Amino acid sequence: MSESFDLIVIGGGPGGVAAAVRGVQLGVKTAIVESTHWGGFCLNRACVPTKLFAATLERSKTIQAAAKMGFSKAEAVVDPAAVFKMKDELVAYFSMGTEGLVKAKGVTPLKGKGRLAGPGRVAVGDKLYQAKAVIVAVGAQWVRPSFPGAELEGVVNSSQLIEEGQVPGRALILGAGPWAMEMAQFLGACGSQVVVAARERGILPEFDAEIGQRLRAALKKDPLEILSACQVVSVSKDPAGLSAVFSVKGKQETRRFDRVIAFDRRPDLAELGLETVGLEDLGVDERLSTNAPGVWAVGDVIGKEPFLSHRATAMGILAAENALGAKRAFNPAGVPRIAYTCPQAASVGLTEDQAEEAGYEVVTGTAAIAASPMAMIQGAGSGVVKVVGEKRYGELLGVHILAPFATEIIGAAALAIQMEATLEDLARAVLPHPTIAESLSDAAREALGWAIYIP
Amino acid sequence: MAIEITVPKLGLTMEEATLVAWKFKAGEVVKKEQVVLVLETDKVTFEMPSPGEGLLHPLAAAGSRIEVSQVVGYLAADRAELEQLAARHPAAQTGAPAPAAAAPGGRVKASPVARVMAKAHGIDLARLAGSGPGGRIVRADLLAAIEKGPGAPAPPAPAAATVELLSAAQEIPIAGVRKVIFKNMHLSLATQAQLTLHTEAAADALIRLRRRMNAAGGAKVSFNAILVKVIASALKQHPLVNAAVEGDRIKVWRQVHVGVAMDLGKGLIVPKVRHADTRSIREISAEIDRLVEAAKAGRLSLDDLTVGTFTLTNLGAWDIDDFTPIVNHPESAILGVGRIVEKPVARNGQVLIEPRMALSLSFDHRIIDGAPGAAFLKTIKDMIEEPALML
Repeated sequence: MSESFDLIVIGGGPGGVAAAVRGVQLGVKTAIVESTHWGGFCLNRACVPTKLFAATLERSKTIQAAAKMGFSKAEAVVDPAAVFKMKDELVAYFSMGTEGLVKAKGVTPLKGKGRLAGPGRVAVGDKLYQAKAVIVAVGAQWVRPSFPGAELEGVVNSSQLIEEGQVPGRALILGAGPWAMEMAQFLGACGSQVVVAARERGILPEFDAEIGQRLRAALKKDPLEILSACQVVSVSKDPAGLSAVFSVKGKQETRRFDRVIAFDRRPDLAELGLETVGLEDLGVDERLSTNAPGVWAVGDVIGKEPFLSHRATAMGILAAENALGAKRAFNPAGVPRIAYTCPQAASVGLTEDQAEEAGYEVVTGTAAIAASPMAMIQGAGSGVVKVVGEKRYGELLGVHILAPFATEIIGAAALAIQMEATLEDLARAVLPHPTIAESLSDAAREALGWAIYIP
Repeated sequence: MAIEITVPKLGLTMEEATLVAWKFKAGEVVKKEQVVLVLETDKVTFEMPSPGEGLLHPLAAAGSRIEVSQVVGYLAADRAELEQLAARHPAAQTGAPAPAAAAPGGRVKASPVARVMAKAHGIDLARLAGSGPGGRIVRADLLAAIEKGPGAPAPPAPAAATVELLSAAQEIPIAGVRKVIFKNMHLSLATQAQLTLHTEAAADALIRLRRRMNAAGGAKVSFNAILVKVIASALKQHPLVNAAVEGDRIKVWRQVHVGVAMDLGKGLIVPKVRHADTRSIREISAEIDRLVEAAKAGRLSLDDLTVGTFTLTNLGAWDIDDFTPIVNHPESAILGVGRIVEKPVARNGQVLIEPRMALSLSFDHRIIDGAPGAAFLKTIKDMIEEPALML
């Protein structure tokens, strides 16, 4: 007789761990299945390593700016080997922490590759378990680009580059999303010659247009080149590395690189046993229920962007509750998007364009951080805090920030959006001075027509 | 010490029930003997009195299946105990209709946008139930309230009583099975866009098939058994008919569970022939016999009664031909079968006398358009006229 659980979570990343812990908290017997490293993609190959890179970048910028503050011997030379060593230590530390957490909370860890094996059953390796509810949280996998030459050794994904532990001399970055821009800036700071092949016209295409435009202007001083509306046609082997042909605004161009770095990910549904419960994909409704009774899915594996660790965590908690009888809907509007560029970009809710498309009578307020004393003290003059609202009820619909600490400041905005705050609430929030965050209030006041500090 | 609320056994065979609703919200004071929750089996609806007095801490969510003697909630003696319970077992959603967001102190929990919307539309927040975290009134609640309008207009005053008032000879309580029928029939027509198609099939092949099967010995095979098989075979060819609406999705079921409507004197019941598509006519016939016997003896299990995907209703025994059956919600189609009766039929310029049978298919036009519905009914008709098509 196979062992039976009330809840089995497949996947030990952020979404899976949150779901499993919540299951135990709700009083049911819960297991979590993980085949390789606890903590998933976020901990092992994305959030933790790349944010260390972002911190390195930040430090190098600080040191570069230090001369202005009177530091005479500051020199921003990064030794990548030291950064990669620190990355390994951090990842090992947190991965151990995740396994400990799972056990301390009373979740039964099952080591091996998990898959669905018919209604109410999960197979782990050759062992079969019974489960009243199953939450699938196995994340997404790297996808190779589709141009000829994508199979060449020098064409790598971000994880492979991180594992190589070396900074390439010349790097081609495919895409201009948050990760791509973070990596481009980090490699640039480490002395790499970087070209960003942006598919769209601008960078950070999923952010409010104003954020992308302003970041691009801010990046003018960075040692990297951005090619807009650029398609890679092919990559081939070259005696001195790789030769990439791309078309930029209709014109073909050839450049040489040591590494071509890809960032696209998609869920791999092939070995999850979906067919055993009659599923073709893991699309979910607003309660995160799949089309198969008792099967739920959270995080990147649902296939719908944005692929974010904190979204997976929030979904994991909700799916566990719903799997055990609650009926709550997941609210995608409350999920912040972030880019650890320098300056940082962060955003929550609707962009101005999305709000227009949704049919709102849109109002916006913009506070340039050049007017913020704290931003200027930090030596950051290019950035903005923008709020998007609607006229009828004065609801706050979105907040978009390009500024130092934007990824921290956006937390306040995420809470405001989740709690359905109005522009008036934000305009009257008493925020400490001098901070960059105080621009939030003035941007909201500007949307209402009574900004105090915007001329 | 908190008082446990457990589900009583309401009949010899009852093993589980549905917790239809809590009558109080989490944290509200419940007095002894007040109706604290409503249970329902397919046979009965039971308003359960509270076993004692205390602050309610529900564990089982409204709408969930409950086993006999399961602890579905607690009554805490005081706030401190309630908080201890809440820390150990999170409260379930009660779905009780009480004005949720108005806390005892009179403060209404509502989001800022909800407050602005309420003011703009003159809606009293204290009268709304909140669906947000902790019963908070949120935008969605206001949108629903605005859509509903400021409340139904008052009914017109009754006309002056110039005629003799009606007096009831008998008052039948709407309870138990009747209550379930009330609810389901209304729900079906209130939520679905139903229409009925009528046709007629030649019944001679059906009669011949049944006669042959019965001549071969064994238990007698009923017309209904053959019809269930016909339906199951036709559903395999028209899977979209074997579906239901759940939330914002249409779910096309893999299983084929055909319900057979029967009235054994205590109201309508619809036991299911589960997995009808995988069973032979003889197996289906034996299963229907078992269901009838079990129903007569009041021994139908919940498995027998719940989760169908299609229903057959046969009024032939009452000399009915065409009728408009009501879909057994949440299924999306039902086949009504009339009597087999000899009728004159014109064929090749000649009038023949032949046994005919009326077929009435009601279905939910939200899911099934007219043409696919008609095609399904045509498949049924063809299989009745030529049972070999089922193979």
